[in-house]
Amino acid sequence: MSFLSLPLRKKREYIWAFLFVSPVLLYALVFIFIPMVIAFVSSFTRWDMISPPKWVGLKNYIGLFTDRVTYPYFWKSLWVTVKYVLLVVPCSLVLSLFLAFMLSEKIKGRSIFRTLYFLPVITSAVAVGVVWKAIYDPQVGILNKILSVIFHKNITINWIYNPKLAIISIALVTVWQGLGYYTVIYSAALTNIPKSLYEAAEIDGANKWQQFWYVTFPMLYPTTFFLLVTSVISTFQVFDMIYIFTNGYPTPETMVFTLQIYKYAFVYNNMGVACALSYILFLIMIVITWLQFKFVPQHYE
Amino acid sequence: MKKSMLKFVILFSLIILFISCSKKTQNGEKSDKKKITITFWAYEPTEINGRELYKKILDMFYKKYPEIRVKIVYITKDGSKEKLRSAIVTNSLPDCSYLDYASLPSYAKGNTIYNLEELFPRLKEKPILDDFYKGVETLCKYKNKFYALPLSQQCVALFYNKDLIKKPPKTWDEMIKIAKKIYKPGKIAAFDVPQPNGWGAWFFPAFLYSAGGKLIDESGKKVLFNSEAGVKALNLWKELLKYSPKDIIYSAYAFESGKISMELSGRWEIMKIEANFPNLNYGITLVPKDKKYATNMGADLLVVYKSSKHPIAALKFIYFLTTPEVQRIVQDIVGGLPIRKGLEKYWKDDEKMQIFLKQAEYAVPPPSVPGWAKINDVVIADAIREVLDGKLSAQEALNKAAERANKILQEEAE
Repeated sequence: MSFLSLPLRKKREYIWAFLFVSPVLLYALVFIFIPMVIAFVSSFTRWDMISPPKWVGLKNYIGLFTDRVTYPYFWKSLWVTVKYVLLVVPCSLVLSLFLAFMLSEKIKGRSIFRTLYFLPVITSAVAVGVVWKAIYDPQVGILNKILSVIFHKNITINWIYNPKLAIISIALVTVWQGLGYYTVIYSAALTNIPKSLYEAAEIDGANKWQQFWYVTFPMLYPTTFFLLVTSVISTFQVFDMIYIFTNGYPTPETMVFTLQIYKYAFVYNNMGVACALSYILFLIMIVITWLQFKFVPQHYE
Repeated sequence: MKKSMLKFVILFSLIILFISCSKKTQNGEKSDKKKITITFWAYEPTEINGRELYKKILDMFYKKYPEIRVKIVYITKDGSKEKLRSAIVTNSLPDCSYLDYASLPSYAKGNTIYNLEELFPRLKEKPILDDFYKGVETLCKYKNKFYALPLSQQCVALFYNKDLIKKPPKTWDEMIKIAKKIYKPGKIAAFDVPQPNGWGAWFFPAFLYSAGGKLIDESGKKVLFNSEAGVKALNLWKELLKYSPKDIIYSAYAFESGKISMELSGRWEIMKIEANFPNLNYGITLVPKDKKYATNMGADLLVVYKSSKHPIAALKFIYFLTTPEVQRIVQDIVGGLPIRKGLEKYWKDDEKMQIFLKQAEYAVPPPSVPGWAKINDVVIADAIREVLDGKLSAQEALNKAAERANKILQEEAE
């Protein structure tokens, strides 16, 4: 049925509906869809944002995948990012579920704990990065001081500058910062589980652990799925935290994918390659999300 | 229903009207009938009184050129590249601005900025251009023509802790000797060895040139750093690293708290130390030499954009910023060094500044070829890492780096 053949009342409703969503549509068009198209076209060019772009066809993509001299860190940065995601996402989900569970009990000062756990979420990544850099300092950082007291010897671990530790240390901070957000969502999901299910389980003789494993956990499938998908996407795009920790000069061990995009766009004057990298990231995200939708259970059957 | 629809349309068009109006008033201000107003994008000063000092400079400028008005817009230094590039694409550039030296070749090549030598004849008084420091002049030029004027330069010198070192080293050998003597395992590191990243790679030329080497050949197509001098420079760092444990040199404020005896830094460090560590007993000396004195440098440049409606007024302003009396004020805003020779008199009582001014005479400019930022960040940094980690010998690492660098240069030139 075409728009014109609709009754007047319906037509009016459609017009109003469209008017109401138009600001957001306009926003999405100007700030998301048009830039996406421009970036796609730019990814086939060589462009320094100063001279007019030059069409190079698939050269950027082929170079990124095959040329290790000009783009030495392409695979490496992808691997670093994957490592980072594999550290951050499972830790965040497990820890936040645990926290949410603890906070669901009726303990004293529950709201204070909730506030405290949520505080890092609303703190800017820059401030968090600066504070944690001080905590991680090999000489005067409080983390090494605490470890020194525990182990009764002078410990001076290079948390950020040791190539093997760097990404783990940064992942730890990210987990700490994001924990509150996941906890809040898990808490909400936990309160939504009907009490009757637990009562039924109790009558059947299930202990606390079995109750968690056979009642709580399956009931949390939709929440876990949502958190998994969103957290994988957001951690894959980590930028600010790494930028702060490395002062903008990452080593190959801390060169995550988005930092590489930034470097190509604004330091190495190659917007074309930066756009190609963005599209590669975009495709990776689509594939990962599709796989998650296909293989991760979203509902309890 | 119809009425409310009408209301909606009226309100909506009013919004559009407001938006377009506000745009017009801005334009109206710009084209003030009698006075020319130019816009200048400057880095946000790091010192608290920086903006006041800029005002002082503007007052001096207005006295000389009452017909010109300057609107200074402060942008952050870190974000300046993104901001300028976006402004090019959206055609909203100012009349003139700061520009980092590394961007000059691409801006000149892209026909975004004026070849200033075309504008110089239109000035009433002939500009004085022959007393710039040599390195500064090189960085201002593209194809041997002035496309920019210099605002300030930076170079590094050796900072040393006077409580630990009585007589600062003059040569590399002395540096190693002192390092051996000073080093106390777990307590004191000898030297803040540059880190194997883009920032650390920036210090490499200071040592390469000192040992008689060069970064790149005249044509700008082939790198030369895999020479004997390059090997010698990296081996010096490797040797010094033995007496400089990483857990100390990578700690924050280790030099300021007396845990590192020597470090390389620029004039900005003095301001930082004096503000935060006023009791630190430190001295500054020239970077120790092998064959000759050398240091690396960078500069902030001033350019006039082709899109400017008043290029001559803009040129008058940026030239004014390079004049000696203004230089004296500007350098205290940006924490840099003057770009003209013979200004030592302004800092007569400042012993540390005198050393920096002397060091500036030995400064070697980085190559202004497209792609150098990447070679520095990626290729040279990798070589430094491989050598400091002991994975490759200095010669092997530098040969590998040279091969990669040459390929990048070739690709960028295409």
